[in-house]
Amino acid sequence: MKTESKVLSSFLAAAVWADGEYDEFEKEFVKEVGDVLEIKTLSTDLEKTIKETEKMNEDELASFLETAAKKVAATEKEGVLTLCLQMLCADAFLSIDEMENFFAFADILGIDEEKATAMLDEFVAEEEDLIIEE
Amino acid sequence: MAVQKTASGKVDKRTKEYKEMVERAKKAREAHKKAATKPTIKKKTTAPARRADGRLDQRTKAGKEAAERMAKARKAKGSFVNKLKRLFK
Repeated sequence: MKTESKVLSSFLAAAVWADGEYDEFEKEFVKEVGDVLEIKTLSTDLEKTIKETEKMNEDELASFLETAAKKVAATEKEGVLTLCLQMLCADAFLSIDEMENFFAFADILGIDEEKATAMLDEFVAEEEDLIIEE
Repeated sequence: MAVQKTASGKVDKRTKEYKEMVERAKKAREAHKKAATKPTIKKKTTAPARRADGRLDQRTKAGKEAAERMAKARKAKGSFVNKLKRLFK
């Protein structure tokens, strides 16, 4: 993986803030990602970034992500957005705030809306257990 | 709208909700683009046990079981590992 762990952690932390809880399923998911991509520091980097962003307001968080986005490898932008989506939905629940954040992440990463919509459609179709906010 | 079924044959209750939510999110993005120069990231500082309308958050009950099934499926199928390797080769 070309993108640094700390940069990926910035996006995953923002995904955590969509519902305000870094729950057991998200922790398990991050561990799996760290194992597969051989990023030993991912879990600890994410915990640090969650603390670092704890006091930020929404605008500051957006600026923080815009800075991080510049450091995402061009070939890995879609991958980072996919991981954000998985993280947003790790608790098997997709709320309107989480969906709005997904599209905000896509915008910040420079992924067009059509592509992001297709990614979301595919994910929802694949994940039968996902609960959509009523 | 015709009732749709999932691959396992269950009635997919998400079809209508999902499409409605996609539309709501799209309208929110369009409104935001007119009013602001950069995207907004929604941030919550506490995990709500109840939703804004006072109903019990599904995350506390059925959601937990569903999340466990999703995590198991992710590991069992191996497709997630392959997808990650493809996206970050």
